[in-house]
Amino acid sequence: MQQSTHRILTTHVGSLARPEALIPLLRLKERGQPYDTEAFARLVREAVADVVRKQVEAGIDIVTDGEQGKESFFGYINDRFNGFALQPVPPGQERNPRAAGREYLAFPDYYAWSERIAASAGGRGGDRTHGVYTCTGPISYKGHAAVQADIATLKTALHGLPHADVFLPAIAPSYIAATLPNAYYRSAEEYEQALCDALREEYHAIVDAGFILQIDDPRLVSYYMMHPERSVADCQRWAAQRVEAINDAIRTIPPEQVRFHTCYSIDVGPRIHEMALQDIVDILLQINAGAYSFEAANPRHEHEYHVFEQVKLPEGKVLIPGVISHTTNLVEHPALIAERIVRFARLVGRENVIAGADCGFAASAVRFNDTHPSVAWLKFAALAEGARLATRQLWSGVV
Amino acid sequence: MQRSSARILTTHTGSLPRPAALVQLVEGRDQREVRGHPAFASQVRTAVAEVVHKQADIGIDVLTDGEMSKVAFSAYVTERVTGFDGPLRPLAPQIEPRLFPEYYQSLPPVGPGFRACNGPITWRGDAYVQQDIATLQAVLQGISPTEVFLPAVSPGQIWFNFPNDYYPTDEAYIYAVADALKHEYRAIVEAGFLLQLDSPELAMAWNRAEFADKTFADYRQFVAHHVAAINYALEGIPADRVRVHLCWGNGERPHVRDCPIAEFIDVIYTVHAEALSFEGANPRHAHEWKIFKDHPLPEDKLIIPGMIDSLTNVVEHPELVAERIGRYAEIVGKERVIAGTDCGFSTGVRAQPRVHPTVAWAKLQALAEGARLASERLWG
Repeated sequence: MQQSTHRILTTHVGSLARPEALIPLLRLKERGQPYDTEAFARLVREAVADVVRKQVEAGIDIVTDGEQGKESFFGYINDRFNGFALQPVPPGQERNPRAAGREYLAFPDYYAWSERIAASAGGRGGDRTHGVYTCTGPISYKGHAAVQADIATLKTALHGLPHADVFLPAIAPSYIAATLPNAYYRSAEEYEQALCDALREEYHAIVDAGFILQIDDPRLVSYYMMHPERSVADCQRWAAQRVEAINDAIRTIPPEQVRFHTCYSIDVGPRIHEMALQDIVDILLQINAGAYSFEAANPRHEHEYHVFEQVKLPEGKVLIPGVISHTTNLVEHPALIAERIVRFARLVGRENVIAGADCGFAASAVRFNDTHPSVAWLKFAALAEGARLATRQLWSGVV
Repeated sequence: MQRSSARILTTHTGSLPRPAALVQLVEGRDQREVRGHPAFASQVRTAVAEVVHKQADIGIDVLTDGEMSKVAFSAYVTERVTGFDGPLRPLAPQIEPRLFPEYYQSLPPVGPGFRACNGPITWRGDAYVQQDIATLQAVLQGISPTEVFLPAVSPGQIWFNFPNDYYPTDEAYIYAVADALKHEYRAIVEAGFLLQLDSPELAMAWNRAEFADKTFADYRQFVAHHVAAINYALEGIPADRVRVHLCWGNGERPHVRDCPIAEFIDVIYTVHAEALSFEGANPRHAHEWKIFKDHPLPEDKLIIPGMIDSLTNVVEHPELVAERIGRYAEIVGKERVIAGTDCGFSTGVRAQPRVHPTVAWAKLQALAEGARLASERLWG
C-alpha cells in the first residue's frame, strides 16, 4: 500500500454513478432476471475506461473501477455466491429495515418526506417488494470468473494511465450476515463463518491481481442506529465479534494489502443518533487492515478528528478520513479540504493520512443518490487541489 | 446591540419554515395577492406565535418572526412600494449555470420570476410594516429574549432580483428603492427592534453574467456602490441597531464561482451597521474564518458567522458548532461573535423546502447547544 511519504495521496470510497444505458441492465441483474450479458460486458468496459480516465485526470492517486458492473456495493453477492435465493419477504418485514432504527423513530416526518422525494429516482433503498436474498443452502464462492472479469476490465482501463495504487472494494462477511436472513445454517456464527470462507476467495483474487482490497462494512457503525434496543456497550460487544469474523476472512492476507471502509448507512438525514467514533475507534483499529476509511467531512462527524488526540494510531496504520462529502452538491473548497487533512496529519503524522471521501457517490447504481453525477468530478478535482495545498503546508511549512 | 459579553449569543438569518396551511396559501403568489386573502392575517399571527415560542424554548437569544408574513425575503416589497407592475421575468443570467450545464439542467424548474419595475418607486407600506411589528410585539408578551430583530431587504438586492424597465441607470433605480425602503428601516428601529438588512447581492452578484470578464477590483467597486446606497438608506439610524446579512445565494449547487469573502470584506467594513452576518458553515465557505487574521475586524463591529448551514438535512454536531465558534472567537474576541446560520430556512416559500422543517429546528437546537458548549470553554 502506498503511503503519503512525499505528499498527501488522494483516493475515494469506490462507487461512482453508472452511465444511463447500464442502469436498466443492472436493475434486471439485481432482481435475478435475465439480461443481455454481452451488451452488459461491453457497457461495463466502456464505463470503467471512462471513470478510470476521469479519476486520473481529476488527480485521484489511488483509483478504482467505480463499481460500474455492480448494482450496489453489496447487491452483487447473488452472482458470486451459491446458497442465496430471492425469497418473498416475511409478512410484516416489507419495510426498509432502517425504519425500525433510532433515526426513523426520532424523525418520522423527515424520513417519510425524504423517501417521497427520492421515490421517482429509484428510492433510498431498503425496498423489499421484489423479495430479499436469503441464505437457503450451503454458501460457496462461484464468482471466480466475475471477479477476474472485474480485474481484467480494470487493468485494461488503467493501461498507460499514471496512478499510485489501485483498489477494488468487496463486501464484508459481517455486513451480509447482519443484513441478509439466514434460513439454512443452524447458528449465526456458522452462517458468518461460511461467509468468511467464501469471501476469502474473492479477497484473494483481488490482492493476487496486485490491487488493494477494500472491505466495506457500513453495519459495523450503523448497527447502533438500527438497533434502538441495544446500548452502546451492547453494540461494542457486537462489533468486536464482527471484527473477529473480518479478521478471520482476511487471515491469509497481509494487512498492508487491505483497507477497511465503514460509514453510517444514512447519507442525508439529521443523523443525530449515530455512534460516535470515540465509542468504536478501538474496535475498528483491531481490524487487521493497513488503512481505515471513515466519515469526517459531513457536519455530524467533522469534529471527530479530536479522537486521535487521545487514541494513538498503531505503527504502520494509515487513516483515510473523508474530506469531501457525498451528501451535498456544494463543492468543498480546496482550502477547507486542506484544513481537514492538516488536522489529521498533525495528530497522526502526514505520512499516515490519505485524503478520501465520506462514502461512495453512487453506493447503489439503481437508487436515488444525493449528489448529481457531474458534481462528484468537481469534488474530486477539489480533493486533489486540497491535497496539494495540504502537501505544501505539511512539507514546506507554508500556510 | 447586545454582545456576547457573558456567553455566546445565538441568532439566525430570519426565515423559518411556515406551517403547511400558510405555505399552501402563499406559494407561487405575489405578496399583494396573498395580503388580500381573508385567512392570511390570522394564519400569520398563529405562525409567528408558534415560531417565536419555539425559538425562545430552544435557546435562540436574538429572535424574530420567521418572516411569516412574507412570500419571500425580497419579493414581499411589491406590496410596500409602488412601481412593480411590469411583466414577470427570470433572474438576470448567472455564470455558474454556464460552467455546469449538466448539473443545472437536473434542477427543478425555477419559479415565475420577478415583476419588472415599470414606474416610479414610492413607499406605501406603513400599514404592512406596522402590522409585522404589532404581530411580533403581541407575541413577545411574557417572553424576554435578549433581543429581537426584523429583516428587511436592501436596496441593492431589489436591483439584483427585480429587472428595471423604468429608471435610466442602475444607480437611479437603487437610490429610488433606498428612498422608499428607508421608511421601513426606520419603522423597525423605532419599534425597538434590531434591523437586519438582507443584502445577499453584496456577495452573490459576482456570479452575474456581467462580471464574467471583470476583476475582483471591479467587483470591489460594485460592492462599494451598494454599500454607499445602504449607508444612504440608513442615514439617521444608529449603526448599533443594524446588522447586515450577506451570502452567496441559498441554493444547493456547486458554488465554485463564489467570490472569496477576503476579496471584498474590507469594503463591507464601511457599512453603517454594527454586525455582519455571513456564511461560515457550508463546505464552500467554512474555511474563510481565517481571513479575519489578515482583515482585522474594525473595533466597533461584531460578526454573526453561520455555524449551521441552511441547505442540507444533516444536523451539525454541537461539538462542531462549538469548534467553529471557538475559531472566530480566538481571532476577533469572544464578545464579538454571535452564533448564526448561513442563511434562512425558508427564504422563499416552497412546499418542497431544501431543509425539512423538523430538521431546521433540530439544527437550530444544535446551534444553541454548540453555543452553550463554546461558552463553557470560553468563559470556563
